[in-house]
Amino acid sequence: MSENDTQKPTGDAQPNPPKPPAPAGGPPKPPPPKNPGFVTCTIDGREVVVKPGTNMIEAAASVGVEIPFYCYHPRLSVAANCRVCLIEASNAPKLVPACQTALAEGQVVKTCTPKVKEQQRAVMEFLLLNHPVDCAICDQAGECKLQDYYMKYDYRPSRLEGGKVLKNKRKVLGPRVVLDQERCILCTRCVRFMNEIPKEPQLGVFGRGSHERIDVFPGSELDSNYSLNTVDICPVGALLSRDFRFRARAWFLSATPSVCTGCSRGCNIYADWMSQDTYRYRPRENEEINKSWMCDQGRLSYKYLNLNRVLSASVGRRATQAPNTATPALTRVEAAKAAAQALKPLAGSAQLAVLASPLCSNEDLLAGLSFAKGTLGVKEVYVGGRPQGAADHYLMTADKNPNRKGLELIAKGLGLTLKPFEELAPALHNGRVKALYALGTEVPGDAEAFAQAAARAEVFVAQAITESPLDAQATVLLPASAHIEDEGSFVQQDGLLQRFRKAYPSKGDAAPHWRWVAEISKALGGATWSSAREVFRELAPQVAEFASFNWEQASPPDRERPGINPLPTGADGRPPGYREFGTPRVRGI
Amino acid sequence: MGYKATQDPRTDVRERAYLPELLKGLGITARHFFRNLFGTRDTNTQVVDRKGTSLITTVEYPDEKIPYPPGYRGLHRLVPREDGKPRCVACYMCATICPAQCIYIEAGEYEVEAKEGESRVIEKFPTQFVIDELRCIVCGLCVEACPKDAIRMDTYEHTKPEYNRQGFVYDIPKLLKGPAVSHPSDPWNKREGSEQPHHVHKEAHTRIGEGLVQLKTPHAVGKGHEPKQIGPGHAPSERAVK
Repeated sequence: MSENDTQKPTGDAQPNPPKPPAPAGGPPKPPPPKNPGFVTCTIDGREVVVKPGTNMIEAAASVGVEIPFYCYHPRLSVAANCRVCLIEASNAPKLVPACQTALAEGQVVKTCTPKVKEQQRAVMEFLLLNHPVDCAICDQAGECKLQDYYMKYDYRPSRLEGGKVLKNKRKVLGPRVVLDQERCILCTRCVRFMNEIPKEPQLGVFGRGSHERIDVFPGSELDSNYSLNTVDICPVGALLSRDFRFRARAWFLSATPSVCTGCSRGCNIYADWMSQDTYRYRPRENEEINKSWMCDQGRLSYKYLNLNRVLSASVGRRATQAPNTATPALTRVEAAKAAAQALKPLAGSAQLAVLASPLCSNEDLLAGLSFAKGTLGVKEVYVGGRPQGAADHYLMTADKNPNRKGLELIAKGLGLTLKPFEELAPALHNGRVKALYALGTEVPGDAEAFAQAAARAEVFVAQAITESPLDAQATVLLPASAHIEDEGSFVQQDGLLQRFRKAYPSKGDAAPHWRWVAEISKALGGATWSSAREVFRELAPQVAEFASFNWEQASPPDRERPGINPLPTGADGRPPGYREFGTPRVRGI
Repeated sequence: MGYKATQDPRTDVRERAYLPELLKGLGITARHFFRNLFGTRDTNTQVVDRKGTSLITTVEYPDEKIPYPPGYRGLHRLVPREDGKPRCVACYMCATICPAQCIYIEAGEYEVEAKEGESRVIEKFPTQFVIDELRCIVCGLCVEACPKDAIRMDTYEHTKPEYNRQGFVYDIPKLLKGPAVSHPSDPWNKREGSEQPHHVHKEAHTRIGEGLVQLKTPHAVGKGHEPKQIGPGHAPSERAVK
């Protein structure tokens, strides 16, 4: 029936174009397009209108028909070697690979005929023929397309008699990637990725027949800054991240859409976490910034979220105290009051300086800088942040701070002057600055040297994420949340404002910067806010660039569109994050 | 069938006379009294098989324990391999299925250069495997979920009493016990290490003559395996030569 529907326009259109005189005996002219400028065809009885050149997988996905594939990747060249996407097309005598074939006008495509189903089952059987079904020790289990497609398209035991081909199960390809050649299905996605995206051809296919395997070229290793993307695009568990390997099963992790804080590029990511620990970053698709990729350095930058965190507030310089001095436990209000008392006599004096880190979110900076300007009467803000690093040829930038642009915009909007960090240490040494209020204690220079300078400050109120020599010099130390523990926004280097979502509650007694600011401000009788959203809504109008930003709508959706690669969330049927926050609940560990 | 319960207290004359039944009951009591006084208890024989004087039914519990019936789900054990390491590969299946969430696992990886022989075939192992026996509801789902036959509840003993809760948290040294188990399908029985085997790999069809592989194809050539002569009118059967 669907066939008749699509044949009709061709039949009607046949007599209509009289313009070119039909050469006698030549092939019949193609019918004119039903929708000029587009290709109209039928996939499983559903009419599809797509741009010319669109392949069948994309076209089918647009009408909700799923065609399985392994080797196809929308951002890579087409290899058509996995053969699992073969489908029936009306203008071809045999099955055609859906990833490689562009749709033709009036074509009728069928993806669930018995012939196609038998083909898919047979291909799955071949792919699994020499696959060591060691899902028990495979990190990909739970997000593996072999598992998914086996359950959907094959679901029967192997008929292999005799042993499977044995290959190298642990070939360390480089500093970050390890390869299991047995699990590989030779889709060559990784090879094409390395050739085409970072343009560092380090991987190749070697051998023939059953001996065929992915490997690095002799004498070299997979040390590209984009090597971990091959782990992402590997549809099976062949390429694995050495960092994430064996650390968590995919189905225990929950994913939260966030933004990478490794550099000022602002790559969109999913942060995979379990019980107040972040386990890995995965790139999230964003056409404007990072496409589907991210660099290895950014991907491994999640570690500061877990390790060496400042977890409790303290009053008094710890650097001058004897080690293991018992400090009284402070509530958040007590700690904020101590900070307020320290800052109160200095309000309005030129001896008070503010150090703002471009690692903070816009909300933190809006709250912190407007508090500094309004209540503390500060005119100049020193810019801290991580030191500059190396840039590379694709995504990574030299500026390792995710929100420098945001800090500049906010300072401009609030009428504050930004001063380079290098001027702060001399000012502390010559006594021009006697009190310091730090939003984030990352410093671009030598942290030890600056800690010596900070030791000369009479008052040093620091909101810190990570333990550092500088934190030990703080007279009031307030534990701050990392970006993953609260929602907010960053401005990446090209001026794009991006929201990130909250993954889990803050570790220990940590609180977001803006909340500490609100508490201190409250103790001093200033303005106060109850959420990051409120901070942005009340303070963003002062920044012209933030005027058109809809804070709520810009929040990324918390799950991907339904498709092949599901989020590792609640895969066991339980709600995401069902393992409650905090340490594992088995007693005595 | 056959047995009819009745509430009628009126029975025969002997029972209503009271005394014979009383004496009968005293006789039973006296028999047990003397049996327990002079008899023995043969602990090596099942109760139903006991005869003669070894008919004491009282179990002197701490000295003598009645074995649990077959299939009893007892205390967990981690099954050792031949080399004494746990068979467990830290796949988290038991921790996933556990409805009480009483299993905590941390996985580790053997070093690439580890000189541990068989251990290198499977590079994943549990650095921590902890079961909180107080939280456990003894459902046995962990045993069913285990793909490696690495956790069993065949110890036929219950959790021992402890003086504090910490004692009920069983870790690998406490769990790893019992006879070692090895299956032909175990990876360390199939290969030497995790790297590619040194011998030249041969395709399955070239290994037929080496006795490693026997192809069950209908046309396998060999003495006594010639294809049957098919007469006219008979459809060739696929399994004819099997």
